[in-house]
Amino acid sequence: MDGKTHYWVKRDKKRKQSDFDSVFESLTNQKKLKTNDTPFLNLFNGLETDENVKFRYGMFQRIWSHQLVKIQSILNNANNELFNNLLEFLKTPKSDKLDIGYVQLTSNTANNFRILNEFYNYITDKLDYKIVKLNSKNCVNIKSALREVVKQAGKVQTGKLNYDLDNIKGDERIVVVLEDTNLTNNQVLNQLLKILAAHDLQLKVILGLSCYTVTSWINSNLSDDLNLSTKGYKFKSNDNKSLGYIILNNLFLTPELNDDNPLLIEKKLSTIILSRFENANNSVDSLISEIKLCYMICFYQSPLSILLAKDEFSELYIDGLRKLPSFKKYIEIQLYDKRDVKEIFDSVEELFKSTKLKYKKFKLTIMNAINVIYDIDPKRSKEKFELYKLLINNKLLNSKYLNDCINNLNNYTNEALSVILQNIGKDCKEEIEGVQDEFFIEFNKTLSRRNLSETLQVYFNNDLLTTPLEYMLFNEVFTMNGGTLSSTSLFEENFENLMIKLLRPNLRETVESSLESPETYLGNPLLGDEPVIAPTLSYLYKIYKEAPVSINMYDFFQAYKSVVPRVIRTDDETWHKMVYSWFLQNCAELMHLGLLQMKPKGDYLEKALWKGV
Amino acid sequence: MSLTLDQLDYLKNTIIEREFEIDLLNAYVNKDPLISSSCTIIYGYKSIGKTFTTLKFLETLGVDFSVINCDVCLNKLSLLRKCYDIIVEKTVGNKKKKHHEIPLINSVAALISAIEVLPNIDDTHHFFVLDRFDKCFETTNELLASFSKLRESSSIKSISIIVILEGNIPNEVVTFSLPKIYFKPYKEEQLIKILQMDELSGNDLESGEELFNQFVKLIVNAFYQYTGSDLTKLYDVMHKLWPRFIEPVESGRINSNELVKLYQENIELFINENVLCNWDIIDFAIKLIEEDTNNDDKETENDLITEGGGNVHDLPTHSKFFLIASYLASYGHPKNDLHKYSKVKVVKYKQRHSSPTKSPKKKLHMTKGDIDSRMLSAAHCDLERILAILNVIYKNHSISLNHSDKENLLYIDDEIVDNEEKKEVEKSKFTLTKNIDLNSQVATLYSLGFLSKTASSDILGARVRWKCNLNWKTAARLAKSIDVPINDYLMDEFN
Repeated sequence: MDGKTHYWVKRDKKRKQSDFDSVFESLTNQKKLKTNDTPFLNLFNGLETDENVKFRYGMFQRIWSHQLVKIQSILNNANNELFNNLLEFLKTPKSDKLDIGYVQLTSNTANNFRILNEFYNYITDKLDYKIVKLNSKNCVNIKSALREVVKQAGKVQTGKLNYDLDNIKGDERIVVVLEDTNLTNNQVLNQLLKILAAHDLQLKVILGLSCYTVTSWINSNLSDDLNLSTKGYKFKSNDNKSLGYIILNNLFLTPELNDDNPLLIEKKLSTIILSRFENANNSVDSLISEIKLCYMICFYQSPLSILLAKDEFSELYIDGLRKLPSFKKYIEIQLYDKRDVKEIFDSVEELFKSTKLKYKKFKLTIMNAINVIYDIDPKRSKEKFELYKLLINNKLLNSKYLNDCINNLNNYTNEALSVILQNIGKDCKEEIEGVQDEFFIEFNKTLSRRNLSETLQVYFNNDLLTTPLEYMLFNEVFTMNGGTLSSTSLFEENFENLMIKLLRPNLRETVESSLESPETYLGNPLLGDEPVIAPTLSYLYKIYKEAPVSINMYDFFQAYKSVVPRVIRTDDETWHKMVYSWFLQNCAELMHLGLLQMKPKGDYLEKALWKGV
Repeated sequence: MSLTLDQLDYLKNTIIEREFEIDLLNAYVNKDPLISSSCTIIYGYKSIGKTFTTLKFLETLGVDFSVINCDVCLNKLSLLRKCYDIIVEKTVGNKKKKHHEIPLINSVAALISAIEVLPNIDDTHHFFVLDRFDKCFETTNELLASFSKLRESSSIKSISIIVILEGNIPNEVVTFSLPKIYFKPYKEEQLIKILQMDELSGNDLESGEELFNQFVKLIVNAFYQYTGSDLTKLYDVMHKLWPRFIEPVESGRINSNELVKLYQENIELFINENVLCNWDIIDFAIKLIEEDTNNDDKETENDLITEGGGNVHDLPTHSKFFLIASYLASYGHPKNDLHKYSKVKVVKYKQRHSSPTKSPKKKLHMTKGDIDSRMLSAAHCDLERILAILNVIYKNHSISLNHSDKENLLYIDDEIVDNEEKKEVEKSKFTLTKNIDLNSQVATLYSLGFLSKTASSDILGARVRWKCNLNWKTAARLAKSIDVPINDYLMDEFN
């Protein structure tokens, strides 16, 4: 310890080989890291050919771009009505008052910014308006707000103050968009509107509001005298939540299973995606990034994924298929039935090809079933993706929900029933790409008003629907799971996989564990073999953990002094000073991290984090 | 030279009920700069015709004047700058302006020295009307004092200033011997007279003028209590209501002579408070449809008066819980937390300690404890306290933690029963703060304005305290949507 509290990461210069290569080698037992033109690695311990790696990478790109196009077109059309209305609003000639458009956006700021950005793109080539984008950051006070308006709307004329609105007087038309109105200082907002209204400009204002209904927001936030000088119109954007479901439906709940969309979503992944979207963030952007990450993980880590689109049955791949857990399970069942297993081992290729068809049929069948269930619940209380999640988790067909739905059919009036009968199966497909859904065809034939519930019971009781996905042969190839982690949580909210772990790190735990055991980071082989000396902060943290809620400052220091190893030879006084300065610095650091806070008198410290929260 | 008698008569006829004030103006303000007062102060309540009268007077007088709206000036600098620009415009003109170097003008003295050097400055008598002088964003009182001494402190003789104030005369000039003209607020009869001069559509109706006069009387009677002598507000109300008032007449249902009948039919207009405080926010989509079909549907306005509470149903579940927790934390007293949110029963013992016997004298006064906490303002509280409360209410009431497969499934196998038991263990350890999703939700809620924090900008710092910005209505609706019995937690058993 040289008295410093900072660490530098120094690369070990003795090694000639690149560090990443050596770590990679020790991790994978491979001799040399192969490089190819893609960001993907050669899997199968490096035995995978470059050609196949490229193919795998190409597959990821093709499938993701296919899905992305779908997403884009949904997003682009989601708010067309709003944009058209806003465009009309901007086109209408200016009234004698200040025209304000109050746009009611969604409850997620990220989505709101995306909507506004789309709006800017939408109107740029349609109107010759100058767009002035204001937000709470550049509207700290009225002067900076006006300066921003002048700056974005035009040039500062010589001899004018740079916040003087006379600068932009002229025929040029301007639209001022305040992006996060709710976050803007109320006083500034009122002043800004007042000033804009007082100047005779070719100018319209659009206020982006989130969450509040327009009328109630105005009544509580705008001063009354603005009422006389402004004229307001309100606009409403699309609902956030429904948009997410539309995207999920279009990406994963289509009946076909083809080269552009070859993967089913596994049960845990479906739960994670759905519960995160509904419970935790409700953000369309993060939904999209989750899906993309799932695809990336799937193609990055599974060399067998190329079998989805390519007939590559060399010994390597056959071996790979044979090692899959689902294949082992299959063989066990065959052994139990006393069948000849050897034959199966030899005919893996044929077996795989036949399962490919089976998955197509499987998907068609479950999508049809989901659509039928969606149609027989006139309240639409569950979204299609939720139904899919339940079905894949084996919790739909024997659920009370479905049972109630079917039983209720007997209680409906004739009119209601005929509406249901008309709509039932309207999104279903009997046949697609040569694959037929016999169960649905049969169901369609026998469908009539009298025995509706019986027919449904029979229809749902087919073995394709009742077989769990994880029992099906080669499901590892045909499903996407977002990377498995060995956690055994039972609560849906605690479910984890690699994808979610990457996207939402465990904040508190990470901070705490790294403070407690800095070796995990400092003892990294990349840094060389020198013994790790823990930072002085971690000693303080260890005392902090053992201390009660309120800590006497002096005791804290004494404990710290006794713990810090004395590695520097100095006289006592210098050492004391040194430790004291470390102590103060580390205390400040803990306070900055939000772990400690000082009590008003200054003699006691208080833990700012509560236990078990 | 002041106004001639003819001009004066004409002015008094155009602007009624302001004879005295016009006479005063005529006495103080004169075409000749040497006779005219250098600085005249006009004051009185807002919207009673101060500016209107003054400008009309100056127009009639035929002098050179310019108006500066001080209420849109950010600071003294921009106000003085506007004065300077106007003078330069008047004297030098546009052509030479470009080559002109602009000096820094940050006080009246600087303004004076800047304009003194301008050519032709004393050629014509110029009036500056500084409208709404006291409504400038910066306090301008000392500016007024310097303006009033303009002639004393400079060689400029031809600039006079008229200052219009809405409030009282500032202390800085109250002892100065400046002419001050006070505009009295109008009485009801005067207001009726003034408003009746207005011309609105529908006067072409049979005896429309008579009807209009009666209408004005009704308006003033109904709204005078609220508007006082504020003419702008009254004009606004009148313009809004007149077309709706005479609608039955125009459609021929009621004869224009039957005033009482008309009043009875339209009584809704005069007692509806929305006329005064409602913002006419029109749904643009509806407006477009209306224009297409040319169908004037009056009911749209009623649709807009939506019930308060905001549209929060769109929020994700965790955010809803967090908002409820922050509401509970902001409105509940920390001393009751242990009782409300923990299973430990320490209440009965502590209760005796915490509620001292109130003396009868004290009982007469309302204390904070006697008021329903929902009616008090929200208190700032620690993030950790919100999180702790969130932990409790989430464990107790969230659907995803409390529903079991037992209830949802018809056939239950052993595995599910096993899992249920394991789940209980997992539930006891469950926390929402494990990952950063909740933190980003807090940030989102803050940016939506549902939460606010103490001024410090460092979010991580332990000193930052948070507050919930919901009103009771919204919180109750939120709680209902996620099935949290919020009333149970708000009850204060100590009081």
